[in-house]
Amino acid sequence: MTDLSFLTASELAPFIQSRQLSPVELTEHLLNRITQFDPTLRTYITPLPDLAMRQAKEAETIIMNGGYKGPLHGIPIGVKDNFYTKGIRTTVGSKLLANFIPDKNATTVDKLLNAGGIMLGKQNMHELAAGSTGTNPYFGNTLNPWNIQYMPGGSSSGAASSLASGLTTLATGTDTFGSIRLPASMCGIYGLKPTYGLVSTHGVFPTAMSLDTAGPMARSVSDLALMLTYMAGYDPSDPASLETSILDYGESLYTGIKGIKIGIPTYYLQDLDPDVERLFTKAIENLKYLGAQVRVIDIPELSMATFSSYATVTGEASAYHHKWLQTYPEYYSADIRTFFLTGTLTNTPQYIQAQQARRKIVKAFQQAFLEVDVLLGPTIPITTPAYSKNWLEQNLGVVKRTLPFTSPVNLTGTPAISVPMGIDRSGLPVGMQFIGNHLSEKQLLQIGSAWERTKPLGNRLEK
Amino acid sequence: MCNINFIKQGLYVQNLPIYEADIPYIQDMLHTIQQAQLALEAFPHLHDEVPITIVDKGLIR
Repeated sequence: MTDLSFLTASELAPFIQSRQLSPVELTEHLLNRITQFDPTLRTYITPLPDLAMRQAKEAETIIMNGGYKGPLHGIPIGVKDNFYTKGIRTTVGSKLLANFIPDKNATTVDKLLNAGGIMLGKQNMHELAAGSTGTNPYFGNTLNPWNIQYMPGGSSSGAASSLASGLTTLATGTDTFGSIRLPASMCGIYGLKPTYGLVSTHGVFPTAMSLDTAGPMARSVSDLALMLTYMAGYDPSDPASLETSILDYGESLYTGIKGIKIGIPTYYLQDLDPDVERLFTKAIENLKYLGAQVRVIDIPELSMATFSSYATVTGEASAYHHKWLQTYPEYYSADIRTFFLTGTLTNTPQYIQAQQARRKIVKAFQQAFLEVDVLLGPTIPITTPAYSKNWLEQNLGVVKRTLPFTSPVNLTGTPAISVPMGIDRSGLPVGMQFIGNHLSEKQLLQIGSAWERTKPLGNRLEK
Repeated sequence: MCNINFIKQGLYVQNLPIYEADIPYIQDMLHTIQQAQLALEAFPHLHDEVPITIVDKGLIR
């Protein structure tokens, strides 16, 4: 067997099922790597070596006694630190919650653990899931393993960086205005932002409740499908949870994309960094070569996305944090405090108009999906920046530049998958996102899988 | 809306902290929002749309 560090869950599961690989050996291997590399990369806030080894030994015993539960059994998972974990501190990347110990698990955590997943630890994140770079003045900045001078993207920074550096096999993420897709793009991994309500957010610390979505992050599309199969499902504890049947999300992965109609909104062709434009143009040609029908379409309503998302995110987040901002303002990093305080200065008419604009964008998307199967654009219009000394200005600047590309998916509650599309001139990965109609995850995974087989990064992740 | 006095007074009346160093960034973000809001003018019938709000189906029976 090759190095365990970079094998996917889908590759590892048959070895675990056939008892050729022990979950204990796999977990020990990753814990050793965390000890070796995480002091530099800072992908975990709270590693959980004792718990992980206990869970791994338990999994090993059950599997040896013929009780194999399925493809997540014995697979190590990193959990973003805004998912509640019973008896384990859940900091949400914030000094404010540095000692918060929930008395319950998030529904998603329960589901993954019940399927036999091994929780390696709680992962670093941009504070309160409200930023896009991965800085964290209190717990330490997460670094991008492709080049540690560069940001990994956020807010699921620990998840993306740990997957790209072989410090976990799978990871959970959340996405309010791009927090799964953006770090996936910057770290060269795969991330799925599901349909709003498909995956429970009960027990996930809120950022902006009407946009918050939990989803899988992984090194392969088949692993996204695997995780989603266990994460999705109706949860009566989540008022936004959808009562919909759960599909076998891995069923169509190898169907190909011949005849699939892809629409590229003109909106997603504006203000691209030259490297992003170059790689995106090449990606379009490759998709055509795979048999997809690609054309440019116009969705004028997308012009309202920036206003709508700023007003919604800052408004909802500031409402949640208002009391704490009054009482403990010094516990917030300057970028997050600034972001939230801005929300206290927008007004109710703006918030309501933002929600009207959202409905308009939803309708425009639905109209577009009558003509095309999926929409496509770069995940973000910029290449990954190196960390700047003026991190406050940089953080707010990266949000300003990237939110227009990531937030339409959150505003409309639609699903999107971010996949790597190539390497920029600085040697860092760049991603693109396929956006589907509500509950079209299976098709998105099918398209993502066909794209993955073109090996957009070569084998450069395994280094 | 982007005026420094408006920002300071708005924070003050809400009993929120005023950090002088934050003000230019708040001002910039409010300006961004205000500029982005201009896009709505291209859609004069926006009020025909019912705002999307969180509706708990369990509460409406």
